[in-house]
Amino acid sequence: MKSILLSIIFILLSINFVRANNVLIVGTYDSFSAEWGPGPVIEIEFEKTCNCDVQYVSTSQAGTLANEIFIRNKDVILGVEMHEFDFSNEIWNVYDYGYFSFIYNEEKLKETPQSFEDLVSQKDLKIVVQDPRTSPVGIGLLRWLKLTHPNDFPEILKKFNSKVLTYTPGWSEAYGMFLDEKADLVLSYSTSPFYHQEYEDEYKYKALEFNEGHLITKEIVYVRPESDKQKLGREFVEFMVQDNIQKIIAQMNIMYPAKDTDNNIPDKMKKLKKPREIEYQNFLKSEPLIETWLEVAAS
Amino acid sequence: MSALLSVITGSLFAYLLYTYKNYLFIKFIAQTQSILFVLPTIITVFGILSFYGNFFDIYGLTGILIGHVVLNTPIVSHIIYQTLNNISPSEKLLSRQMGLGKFSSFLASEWPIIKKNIPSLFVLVTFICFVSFTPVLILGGSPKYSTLEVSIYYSVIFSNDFSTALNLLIFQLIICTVIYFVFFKNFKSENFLIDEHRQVKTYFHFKIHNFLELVILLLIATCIFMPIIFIIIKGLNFKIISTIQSLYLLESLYNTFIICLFSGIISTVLVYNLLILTKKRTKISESLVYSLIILSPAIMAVGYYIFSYKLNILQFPNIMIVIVLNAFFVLPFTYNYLAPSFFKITKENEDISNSLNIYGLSRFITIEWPRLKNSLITAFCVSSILSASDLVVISFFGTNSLSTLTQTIYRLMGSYRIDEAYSVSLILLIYCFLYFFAFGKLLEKIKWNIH
Repeated sequence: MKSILLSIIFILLSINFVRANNVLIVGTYDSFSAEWGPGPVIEIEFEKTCNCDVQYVSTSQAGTLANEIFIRNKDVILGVEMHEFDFSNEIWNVYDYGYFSFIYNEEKLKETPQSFEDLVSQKDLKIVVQDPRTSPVGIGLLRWLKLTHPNDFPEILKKFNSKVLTYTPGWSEAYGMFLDEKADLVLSYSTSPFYHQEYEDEYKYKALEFNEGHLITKEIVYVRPESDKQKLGREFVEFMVQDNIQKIIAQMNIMYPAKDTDNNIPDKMKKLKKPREIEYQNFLKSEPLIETWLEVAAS
Repeated sequence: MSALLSVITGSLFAYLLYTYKNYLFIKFIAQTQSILFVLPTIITVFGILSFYGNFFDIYGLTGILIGHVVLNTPIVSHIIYQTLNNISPSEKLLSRQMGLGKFSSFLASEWPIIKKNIPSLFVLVTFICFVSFTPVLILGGSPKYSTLEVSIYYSVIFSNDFSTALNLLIFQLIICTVIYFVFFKNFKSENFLIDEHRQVKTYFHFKIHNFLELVILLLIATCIFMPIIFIIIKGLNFKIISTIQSLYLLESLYNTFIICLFSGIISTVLVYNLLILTKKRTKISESLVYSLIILSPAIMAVGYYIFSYKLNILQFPNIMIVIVLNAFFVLPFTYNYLAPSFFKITKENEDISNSLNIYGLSRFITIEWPRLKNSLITAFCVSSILSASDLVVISFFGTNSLSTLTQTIYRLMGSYRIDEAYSVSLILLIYCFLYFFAFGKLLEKIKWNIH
């Protein structure tokens, strides 16, 4: 018994203390760094050129990438949503983008709304969306609604709220409920159907297209100014927008590549219709939107 | 409210389980129910939605109540069941000889024990309800039921605003303390006879009320076991084969095991020593321990964000941090499993071992281990597998090569792979069963012979 315990401790220690010298620590989110995500492939490709060791530290809690404690001791942060990004940072790149959109199952939902007005007036529609306090997708919806309805935002939000089945803490819960057929619509990205087509050969999931236009969301990779590996970090940030890497990102992160040349976008993604993008000047602050939402949704 | 309901259902369930424990099937339910608690909340919530969602409109207050009851009943009932088993058989015999009816016998022997457990369980469950907002958020259907806890989360994660978080937290603490003192101050009682290792068969004739009780028992069992059934159905999909063969599963299985094992050990040892240290001064110590119970999940929620920020603990290997933090997180659970039996044993053996001059390790080996064995093993197993269900700690300190099964489930769900997520949940479930039984058997076999 004792020797088993001791050997376990030994194995444990030896695993954790073996480290290469030149380590680049990349803070990111789970689905990027997971075995099936783009992270491992990119790691291998980058390590071929840099004579270093890339280590991902990932979080599954949405929004933590902006959290001071999580980003401490990391050299590079990958996956910050553009609204949460501090543009005073020097070294950064947008590596992919997408459009917020509602996903539906075309076998279940026959009548598809063409705008938010259609959506809120359609009877018996059950929508599941993310809580804007805990999910970047959730706050994306509020921004999208506010930009398309600057004057009657509270009113349309109120009508929309009456169609909402529930607000989930994160994207995963909402999308899971949708796939489990608990709801007709789920708030996600316009590229979501690509996953089902590419990896499951399933074509019944479609994205709604609204004629008001859709809100774009971009993901950013940057080097933290506090990191002592500025040069290596810069190499990594630039590496992320190389054509071969952009292709991998689109294929495995299910988003449009930032350098969206024809060659970089996978075939099935090309066939998806790209929604019209809303034009706007300034980023909307999240706090007032959440306040309005709370007033409407909690009443 | 949720807490109250959970405690009531849990107590009832435990009592019924205890009464009918001679049936093998029922005994099986009683032993395995705490495994339910380890499943990722989101999976349980999906189970609840699929099952109860068919019968009525679940979103709203009813949903939250159902969710909390389903989630918390197993833990309450398991703890109470554990302590009920400490009722000495002679006490049962005595009450039968005195011709006490079912109800008065219940009042005389079971109720005092249940009563003793209720305050700490109540606080425990209240805090579980406070800390885990996933079910509230999803089943509530609207943010009006979840303002406080989500606010804490929001201010910690998004705004880096720890002072707001702390204020809200203190507010929570006050609420819980008030509830605790208003309702449960006089809820303690001690009523134990000397234990004997004899079994009392529950003889009963098949009367209507027995039948009714069994029906209620099975009903509650179905309700709380339903998520498991849900997972078994969902988990056995065509993706399971590829999932089993994958590397990420092996890695996370290994990590889960390490984390479970060591957190379990640390936590059990800590609680045990805490109990020894505080057993003399019961009045002060109890309030100390209870305040630990109140504080600990709270420390979990906000404290370690701040601690890890102030102290540079990131220099230790991450897996150690995960283990230690998990061990602390599960302390209140471990305490709840261990304390009632421990107090009983000390009460019975304190004087005799003092007079025989048996102290320290030898006392543990000769006096306490044989008697506390069951409780210790259960406390260890439960705190281990509870560490496996953690998500917050691991998401802060986990790396690519350091992930647990629970985290893997969320990762899979976060990248459209819901079928694989169900499969991994099923594997997690099987793992917990095996862990529970393997350690139960292994530790039972250890004999202490020092004479």
